[in-house]
Amino acid sequence: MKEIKLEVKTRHEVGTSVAKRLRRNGKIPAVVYGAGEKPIPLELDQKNLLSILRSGLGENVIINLNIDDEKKEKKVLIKEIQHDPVWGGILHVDFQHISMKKKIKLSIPVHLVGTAIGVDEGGILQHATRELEIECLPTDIPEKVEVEVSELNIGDAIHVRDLKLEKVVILSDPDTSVVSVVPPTVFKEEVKVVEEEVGEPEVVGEEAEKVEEAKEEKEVKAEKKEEVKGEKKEAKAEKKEEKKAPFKEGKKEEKK
Amino acid sequence: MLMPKRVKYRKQQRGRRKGKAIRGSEVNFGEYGLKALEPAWLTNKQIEAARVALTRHIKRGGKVWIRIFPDKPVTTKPAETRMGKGKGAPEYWVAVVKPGRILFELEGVTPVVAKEALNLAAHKLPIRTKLVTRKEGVGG
Repeated sequence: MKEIKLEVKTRHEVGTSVAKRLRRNGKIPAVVYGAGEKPIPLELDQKNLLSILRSGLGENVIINLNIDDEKKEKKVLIKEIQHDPVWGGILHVDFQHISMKKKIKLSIPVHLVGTAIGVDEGGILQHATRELEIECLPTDIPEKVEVEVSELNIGDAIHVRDLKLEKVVILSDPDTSVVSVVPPTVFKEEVKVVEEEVGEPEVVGEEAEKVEEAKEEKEVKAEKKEEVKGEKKEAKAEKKEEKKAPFKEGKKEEKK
Repeated sequence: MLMPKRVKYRKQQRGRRKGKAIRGSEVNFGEYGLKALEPAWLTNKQIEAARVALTRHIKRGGKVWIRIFPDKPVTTKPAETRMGKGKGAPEYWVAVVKPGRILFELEGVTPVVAKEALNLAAHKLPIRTKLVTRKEGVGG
């Protein structure tokens, strides 16, 4: 396991505005903590951290943290890195102070090696588990887990239980699929004959009762209107008949 | 088109779209993603149009994830109606999107095809977007 040295300074001020000012000056706010220790706010140069992250050793590298040029260095692991959601830059880093004799829990990346037979036949390689949770001594941390996929046909899968690592306990669920080759999905062209208008969704809860009451009220009003209309029509019809009837009778009498 | 199956209330207040997306701002399922750079209300029609453009381009193979869901009803008043007389009727559904939100994810296609497909999908949306990959995010 490689170890890297990183120089940091103690940060005496905390808060949003302080953190923003630091970031403007090319520095990153950070914190270091460990079991039974008080957390110490830190600041470090962005360039130094990026050089570690881009070195290809991954995030699970033991860092010898040199705080304020002290002789005693702290062995730490990167616990968390916060990124800006839009431009992706680093906002904050958490370091965890570790003991080299105690086992630690961490997640390591899973890398796929080779090209699956199923992919050549048209299948799709689904990389479901990209990080594996493990427990081990800091000296035994593997950089990554390499999974050979070249023998996978369509429908085959490799599970967590199939992986074997030395000196490491895998904590992830053994039945979880790591990688699988699935049949190709063919997107069918949707043929729309008549676009059906989708109604409103079902309303649930108190609102539903109100809606139902409103509907019932509407129905009652509609019924009343119909009744009133019906009565008016009948009245009109009767009046018409009364008007027409005497003429008809009179005409008939005349004909006779 | 995407819309909820059942809701508790038919109408909602408009709310605000301050800040950046905190959740759903990383590519979690696929290899490539389309990230929103502006806040917006994306309607279910726009999401569907983008999805169709995406799936038509990749044709065969590949897997698509839609990371947003239009669960907010938008109401409108009928034309030539005087103000008042209560809130209008629910007209369509939107997803509230904040900058940084991953809208779509893709897997099982080459980088070139993914770029073309996501570019086509981006043209169906009313906001600026950018293509992101899973490896991105480290550094600035």
